[in-house]
Formats: sequence, C-alpha cells, structure tokens
Amino acid sequence: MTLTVVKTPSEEALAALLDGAQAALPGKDFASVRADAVEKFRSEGLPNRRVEEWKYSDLKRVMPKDLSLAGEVSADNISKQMAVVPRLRGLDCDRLVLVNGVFRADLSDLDALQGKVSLTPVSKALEEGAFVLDELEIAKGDRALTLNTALLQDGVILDVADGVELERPIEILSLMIGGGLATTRNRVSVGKGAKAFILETFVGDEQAYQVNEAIDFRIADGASLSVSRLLSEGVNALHLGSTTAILGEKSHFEHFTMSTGGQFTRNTAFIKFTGEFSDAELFGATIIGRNQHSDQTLLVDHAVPNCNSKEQYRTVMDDKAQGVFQGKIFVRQPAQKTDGQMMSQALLLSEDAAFFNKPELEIFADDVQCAHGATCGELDEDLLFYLRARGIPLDKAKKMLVLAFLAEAVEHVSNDAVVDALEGFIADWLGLDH
Amino acid sequence: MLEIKNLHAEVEGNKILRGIDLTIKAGEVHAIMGPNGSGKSTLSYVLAGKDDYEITEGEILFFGEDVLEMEPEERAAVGMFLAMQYPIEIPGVANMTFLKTALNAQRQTRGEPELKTPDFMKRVKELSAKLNVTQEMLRRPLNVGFSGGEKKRNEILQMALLEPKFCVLDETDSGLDIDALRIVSEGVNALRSEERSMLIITHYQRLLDYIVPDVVHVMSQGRIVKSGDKDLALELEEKGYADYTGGAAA
Repeated sequence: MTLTVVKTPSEEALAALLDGAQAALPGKDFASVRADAVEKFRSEGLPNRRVEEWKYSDLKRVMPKDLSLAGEVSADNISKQMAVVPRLRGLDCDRLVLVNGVFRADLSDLDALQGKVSLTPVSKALEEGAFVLDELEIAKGDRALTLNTALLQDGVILDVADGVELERPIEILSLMIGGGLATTRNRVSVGKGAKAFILETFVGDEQAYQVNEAIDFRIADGASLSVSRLLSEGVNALHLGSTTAILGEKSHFEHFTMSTGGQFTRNTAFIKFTGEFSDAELFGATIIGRNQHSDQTLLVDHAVPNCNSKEQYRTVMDDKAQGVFQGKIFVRQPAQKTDGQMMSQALLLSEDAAFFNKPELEIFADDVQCAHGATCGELDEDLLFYLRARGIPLDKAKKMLVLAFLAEAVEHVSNDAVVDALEGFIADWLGLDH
Repeated sequence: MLEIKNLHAEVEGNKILRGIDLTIKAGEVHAIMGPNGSGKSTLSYVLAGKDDYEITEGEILFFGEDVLEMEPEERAAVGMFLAMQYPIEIPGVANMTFLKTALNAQRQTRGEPELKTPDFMKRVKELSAKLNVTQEMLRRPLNVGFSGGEKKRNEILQMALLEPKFCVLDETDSGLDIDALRIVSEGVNALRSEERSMLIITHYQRLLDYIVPDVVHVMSQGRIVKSGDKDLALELEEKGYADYTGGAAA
C-alpha cells in the first residue's frame, strides 16, 4: 500500500532526501524503524497550521525546498566558528562536540570522568544494533520525532553511574557549518542517587541550515539532573528540538531553556513521572526580534501520585517576532496529590510582535492542586521612569528591564556559574555592559 | 537656581497645577505643605519629567535652562533629583548594579569619565554605612522586599551618591518611624550645602524639626497661597489647613 499525499515542493524535496539518505545512514537493524518513519512522513506530510499541535508553527510553510544533508567541515573552519558563535564562555565544564550532526571524538573530552560516566556514540550503537528507541506515550506520533527517526545520524549516549555526583557540567555542543540538514538524538541516563548537570548548546554560522535534534533524559530513583539548554542558532537556522524525560521515584529534574537564535525554532518537551515523590521544574527565557519565530511546547504527564511540576516561561519579543507557548499538564486518574503550576509571561517590545499563549490542564484525579496563568504585556512605564529619573537613558533603561525580566527565570538555574554566564549571554545579546 | 513661572499642568483634562510661581536660590531649603490633593506630588513629578502630565502653561528654568524640554534622564544629569514618595520595586535589577549604572550614565551624559568599580564600591560603602543601608540591601533587587523605611533610606543613598544640585523630597517622612526619620534627616542634612538646594514636600511639620527649612510654602488647589519662614509650619500644625481650603476642612 502506498498512500502518497506529498504536495508542496519542500515536502517533495524532503521525501527525496529521506529516500536517498537511507542507504548511507548507520545501522542495518534500525532500517525497518526508519522505513516506518519515512512511510509515516509520506502519509502525513509536514506539520502545518491544520494540525492542532502545530497550529502556530507551520513547518510546511517554512521548510525550504532545497534540502541536502550537511557536509563535512575542516578542523580549521570549526575552530574559527567556535571562536565567534555566541555561547556561554568561561565555564568550567567537560565537553562533547557534534558538528553537522556527527559526534566528533577528536573535539570531545570526557577522560576526567572515567569510571563515572560512560560515553557511546549513537552511530556506534546503531551499527551494533544496540540502539533502541524509548518513546514516551505522550510523544508518540510527534511529527518532529518521526522525522528525527527517519534521518537519525548520530548523537551521544551518556550514562552517569549510580551514586556518582558530578562536580561540573557536561556540555553537549552542537555546531552547524556550511548549511544543510542534520539529525541527532542524544540520551542521558542518570543512575540511582546520582547527580549531574548537562549543558546543551546549539550554535551555527549564518548559512541556512536545519537541525532536528532530540534528547532523552532518563532519571533513575533518587537521582537529580539539571539541564540548561542554550539555543543560540545562526540567523537563518531552522531548529526542531524534542526533549523527553522520564523521572523515577524521589528524583529531581530541573530544566532551563534559553532561546535567542534561529529563524524558526520549535522546542517540545515531554515529561513523564513514573515514580512517586518527584519534582520537575521547567523554566525558560526567550528573547527574539526581527521576524524570528520561537515555539515552546510542553507536555507534562503526571501518571503517579505525589509529584510536583512547576513550569515558568518568559518570552520577550521585539520587531515582528512571533512567540508561542503551549503547555499542557495531564494529571491521570491515579496521580492524586499532584501539584502542578504553570505560568507563561510575555513581554512585547513592539506593536508588530505577537505572542500565542496556550496553557492547558487535563485533570482526571480529584485531589490535586493545579494552576496555570498567562500574561502578555509591555514594559512598565513607572519602572522606566524610575530608572530614567536617576539618569539612565531610555534605551538602556529598557534593556535593563528586559534583562531583569528574563533574569528572574534564569535565576532558577541551580548552578551559580551557569546563571552568571547566562545573564552575561543575555546582556551581550542586548548590548548591555555587565 | 530653579525658577518656576506660572506653571499649569493637567492629567486627562483635570487641572491640577493652576499657576505655580516659585524661585529657589542656591543653598536654600524650601518646604511645601498642603492638604491631600493640593498638587504637591504632581509638582514633584512634573519637575522630574514624568510624562503622565500635560503642561498647558508656564515654564521651569534650571540655571536658566528650559527643563520642560528635557527628558527625565537629562534632568537627572544636569543635577535634578526626586526622592520618590513610593520608591518602585524592580525585581531582577540588583541595587548595586542600578546605583553604578545610574552614576556612570549621568557621568557619561556630562562627559565625565566612568567611576571605576573599586572607587565606586568605596563610595557606596561609606555612604551606605551612614544611612544604615546594609550590604544585603545593596545585593538585593532594587527595593524588592524593602520595608518602607529601607526604601526611603535607599532613596537618600541614591541622592548622596549622585550628588545632585537640586533635590525634591516627596513625602520622604511618610511611613518612617522615629529612628528612621532621624537617620533619613541626618542623611539629608549632611547633603545641605551652599551649592545645593532642596524642595521638601510634606504633610506634617514634624520632618521640619529635623530638616529646618529657610522658606515654607502652603499649597492649595494647585497654587502656592502663602509663603513664610519656618514658623509658618508650626502655625499650620496648630491650626490645620482650613484657612487655605476655603474653611471646608475640619
């Protein structure tokens, strides 16, 4: 049976790319999984505004029609880009690097963590037939993940051993150079009682490129994982990001997303509680301008009792930028004593900017505390006046208030050095001294 | 130093200031007293440049320059300062960062070099110790979680640090207990000099026991209706404002 409803030039281009690339992608045992995903894409096409979850982020409209896989890059070119791309600097961390979707052992170093953290490239796991998709129920059928599976190239699998407490962050840095499409999937498992900090960084040059990345966090009983995710893609980038997390019992998950870059960004997080007495704190700070589009979509699945989730996202938009927040908290029938708090706040700096705010609760248990809120506003005139009355010029006063608005989200990050670096990053973006 | 001539201002069509005339010379401390709604706070905001008010007539000259043509930040840079009645809380902006940014922004506007961090820290430490502003208050976000007294002390700290030529203190005494009133008043008195003038707006005579004015004005219905020396404040304390509000006030 072949059901072909591919219509637009970009969908045709993507279908051709999917077919052409299959033979070259790693892992024979994975081929049938890929084939299913390709078939699914063929029948569904690209997600667009008629698909509820993608209503405000029409991928069909923005996907370019000249598509190719990203190519190889010289070491020289990599070091040049690494020096200039906006990212967190001066942080003491271990680093893994992916360039154009391919893990680069030559640029990565985890030696200091021997015995504590094990590393396997995804391409190796695919070749060895050891890579198994571990999909969440709430993520099933997600269009970005389907494409991710169809084109999966590489990534890293990190296992933090039981009881290990890592002292400094591990950065997974993804760099795009020279244009093209890259597809990666990373997995970080934090063992029982272990503690880790992961920094995800996405950067690239000014060429038009497309990134489809996914990352799966598996947090064992009693484990604690903090993630700070920096989306600082190049000005012409299209970024599809999917995060999944499964929390065990008495575990803690802190997840912060900082987004400034890219032309079109769609970020989805799927969070599932599978053990009682666990907490997830999800925060985000987005600042966009020009005609950038940034979408943060969130699904939190409370499947067991006695867990807390807290979501706080702040978005600043200037010029003709468009922001989207879609957040949904599911509280299943057994998930009594759930505490779920979701808040999305937006700041519009221009009359042409727009924000779509869609918080949702779906509750089937009867003894829960859940709340959601959404605000959308401009800079407070009284605050501006106070700063100006002390001699701070209007433009600088505005920037200070924007930084302050976002800093309130940033300050939830549990690592002070990362907080400082993130605030410095925002100040740089705004052109403020710090 | 400051000349206000026939100043009229309104908000959304409501006339609030109806012809203020006031001249303050260098080194003088003037007090304005008056009942609620007489336009005292409006006068302070109009001086500082808050744009909620429409100036329909009159002018304000500061060292001969037209103040009404200046943005709030320009007024600050030429040496005007308003200690606010309700200092605003700004989450996410550390007090210390704010102080340094404000000071250096003013210096930059005046074409002066930036104050380096060690020099700045030294000055802030000296001044904050005198005003009982703790290190913790300097680290916290601006005015967030400050008590009424802490907010007012922080206003005076800003005033001391920025060294303005002309200060307006808008009901600085409101919300202060006796000890805080003394600390704030001492801070203000320490800033009195022959080159610096002040305009103190208050409901109550009590503040003027601590900060003794050269001239006292009574304001009612948007005008200055009487001026005198410090004894006028005592007289008001005794008799109330009834004589100046058409006898209606009890």
